Amino acid sequence: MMKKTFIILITVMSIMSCKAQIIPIEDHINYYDNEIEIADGAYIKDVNNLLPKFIGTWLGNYNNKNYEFVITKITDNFLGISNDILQMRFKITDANGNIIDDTTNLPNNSSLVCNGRFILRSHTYVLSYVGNNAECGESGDIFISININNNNSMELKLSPDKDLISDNCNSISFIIPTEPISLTKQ
Amino acid sequence: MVCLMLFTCQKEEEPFHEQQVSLDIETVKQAFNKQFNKKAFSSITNDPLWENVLSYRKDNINYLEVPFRSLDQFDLELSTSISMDRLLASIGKDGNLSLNIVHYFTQDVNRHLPDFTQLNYTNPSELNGFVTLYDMDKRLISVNRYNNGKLSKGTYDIIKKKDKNNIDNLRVDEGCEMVEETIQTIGCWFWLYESGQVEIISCETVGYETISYEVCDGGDGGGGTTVVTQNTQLTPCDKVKSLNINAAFKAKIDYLSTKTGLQQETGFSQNVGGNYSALTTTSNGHSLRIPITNSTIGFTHTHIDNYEDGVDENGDPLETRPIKMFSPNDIKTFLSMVNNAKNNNIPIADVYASMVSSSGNYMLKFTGDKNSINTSLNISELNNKYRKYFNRYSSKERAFLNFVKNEISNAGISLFKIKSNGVIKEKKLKNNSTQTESNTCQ
Repeated sequence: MMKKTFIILITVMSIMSCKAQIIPIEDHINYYDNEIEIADGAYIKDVNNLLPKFIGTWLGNYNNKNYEFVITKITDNFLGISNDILQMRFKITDANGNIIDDTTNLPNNSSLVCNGRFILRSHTYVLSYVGNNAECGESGDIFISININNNNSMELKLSPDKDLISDNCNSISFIIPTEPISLTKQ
Repeated sequence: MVCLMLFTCQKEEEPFHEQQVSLDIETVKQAFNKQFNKKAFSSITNDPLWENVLSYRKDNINYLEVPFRSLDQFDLELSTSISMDRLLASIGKDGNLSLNIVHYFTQDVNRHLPDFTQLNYTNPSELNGFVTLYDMDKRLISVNRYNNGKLSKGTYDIIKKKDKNNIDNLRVDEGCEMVEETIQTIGCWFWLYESGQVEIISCETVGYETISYEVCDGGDGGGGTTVVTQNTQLTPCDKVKSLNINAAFKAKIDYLSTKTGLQQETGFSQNVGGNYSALTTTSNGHSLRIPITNSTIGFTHTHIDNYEDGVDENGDPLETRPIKMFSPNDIKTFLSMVNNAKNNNIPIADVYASMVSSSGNYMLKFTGDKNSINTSLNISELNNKYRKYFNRYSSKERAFLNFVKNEISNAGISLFKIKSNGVIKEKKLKNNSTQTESNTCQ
């Protein structure tokens, strides 16, 4: 009888240890800041449904340009972990409707599609931005923050990377505003 | 006594000239006491041995040479080389007294022991080694290399030399220390007129040579015994250590450590001559522009602290988190410098990239195949992936090493962490794993 109990206990324990580690997305930033290792097989998961409010198409206008940002959510599998992240594509047109840039049709793995880094607070999220001319400094973090009192209102701004560039580069003018732009959800 | 010796030398070497100017040892003593910069020549702790003065005349100039150490103070059985300092006084036709310190570095004394009683600055008979001339504040004037007393390859300039004071400090702590000198050889085309006049047409660098030797005892009384290990292949660890105790480099690192709080990067590039150039920012301070010339060998720069870049829609701060590790652009710049060094005959082992941040200071060295340097990096693609590695691996070293291994073919990059206590650790991935290991540079 004793022997049987022992075998059952061992089995239960091994099942528990095989279960993947779940990290809520809002905890991910603590792992990053404190260099806490993320175990193989872990899932950084939106367990508290913080991401859906960002998902959708957002429109705004800045410096006579029209901005359309399309935000989706994916579960990204990368180097042995899964990660619920937002992805963002955009279309920028001038006052006459001419397209300045359009990434809305690019596939998920395109380097020009913005991938989520982490959620800063429940209403503020950070994405990576990499432009075509990253070699000359066209990259950074895009902050998006939804108004706590109005989930259809969002601000967006680019915080450009501080990086080394070749002496052959021209000065960059960023197509994503580096000042906050107000966006409305469609 | 001195005058008599002078006279004898003159008689032997060349005919007596009309405008004889005497060199009085008391005048030399007074000038030495007035001009000698004891602090600069920290290894010379005693007065010249005035009783061992050597006087001679060459090309109408009178010379006195006074050693700081007598030959019997050297252990010639244990030494493979000898370093000796002498005070060199000369008086030209204009009657002006000029004082210098001349340093003889004699290699391989077991096989080629020169006659130190005959050897002098104008006649390096049978000398194998270097003769370096300094002014009294230890500013370098010239370096010549001799093979069996013959001047070799024209004139050499020491373009990088470890700070003497640092060597002294290290002697106390560690006994022996590797000293490394990079020698630049400049070849010149010139026209020689029948009158003897020389007109230089053009000069260019024809190569660099790195020599290394080990200094093993204290410089008691000028010079000291030097054990030479020629043609030693310095490891990347040795090179990182050597650079990090270089006084000029250390000063730049200390300076940059005070600049990580700025909202822009700060940095310097360095050329083979050891000169640093401040890097300039562009695009409203977002970018740090780095020119690469044919003599650039490295750069050091900051990665800045986290900072607040305004507030969000709800009035909360937007905290930006710069990645405190070499970026893809840093890597590309470094590999471009490695390639540039290869094309300009600069030792690739001297090329470095350095980063100073509040999370630690790091250095890159190239340890790959110099015939397959990867300079065609697509930064836009790499930048996107790079960020994903730092989301995946919280350890920045682990993220960087895995990124380099998986995304940059033939990278040939080694990563070193320079700790604040001076300890240097090479960071690498454990065999066939994504985990890192750390090996202290001995």
